[in-house]
Amino acid sequence: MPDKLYQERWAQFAQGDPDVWRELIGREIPRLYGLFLRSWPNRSLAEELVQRTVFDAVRGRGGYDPSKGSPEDWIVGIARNNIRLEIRKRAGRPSPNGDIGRYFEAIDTGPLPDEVLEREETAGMVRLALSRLESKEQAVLEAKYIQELAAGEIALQMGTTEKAVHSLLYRARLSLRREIERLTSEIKK
Amino acid sequence: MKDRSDNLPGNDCSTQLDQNISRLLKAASNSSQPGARFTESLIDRAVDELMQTRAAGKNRMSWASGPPWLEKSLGWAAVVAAACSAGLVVIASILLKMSFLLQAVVVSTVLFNWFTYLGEYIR
Repeated sequence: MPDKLYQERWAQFAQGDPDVWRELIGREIPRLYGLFLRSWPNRSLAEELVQRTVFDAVRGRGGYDPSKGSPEDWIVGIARNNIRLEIRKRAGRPSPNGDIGRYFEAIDTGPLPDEVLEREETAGMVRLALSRLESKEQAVLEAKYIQELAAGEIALQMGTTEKAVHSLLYRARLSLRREIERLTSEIKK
Repeated sequence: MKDRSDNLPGNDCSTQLDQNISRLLKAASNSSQPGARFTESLIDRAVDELMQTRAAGKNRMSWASGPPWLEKSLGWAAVVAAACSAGLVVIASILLKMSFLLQAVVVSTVLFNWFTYLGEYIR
């Protein structure tokens, strides 16, 4: 693309052209997600930071100057700033060490620390707990939390009613929790 | 920040167990790409917010860049208002036998406040 076209596009971005923004955000989300995942192997945190970066860009678009570079570089700059903020936030809190089982005991009363989610043993334990569930329970958990489908869509996919999906989800969550508890106590022993 | 209303009823989404399970399952997933739903929803919400801020900006601009006579009249009205209030303060301060320094401070404060107010309004 010739330089002039780039400049035009950047100017449209600076003016807040919705079509240009839609295209650019769509292209940048996977890149930002990868950038955050490289910093911390934590998909929930990566999503949170991607959202924060995109909304920081939308709210601070007045600060973008096309003469200083491309919108892509400007957004990556915002993302890097969010990484710095996250590092500072983490430095100010105690890191969980030793046995992580105690965090899972409080799974329904408080948020699990990011540092626990980022441990390889956590991912392994969840995979194992998941494999011990009934196939229907595994499917419904994956549809809701990984594919992020609405209850109606899950019902269509599974050939059942929304109400049945809600009750299956309820049971699946409890089963997963029970399996995780069982595994953490096995590890303790 | 994340909109989860399309997923499950409020009471289901709001539980701590639900949130932790969501985070655990994502931690156990091998995907290095964001979910399609997440991406779509984020793009829509960001563009919505962009349009809202643009619309708000346009409304403010259309007021400020209305017909030229309106801007001119407002400018003159502002000058007259600022001059009148400064004059009023000078007269009041003379009648109340205030010191020159106090008069200067009061007049400059009044003028400063008027210009700040009008400047913000027109911007």
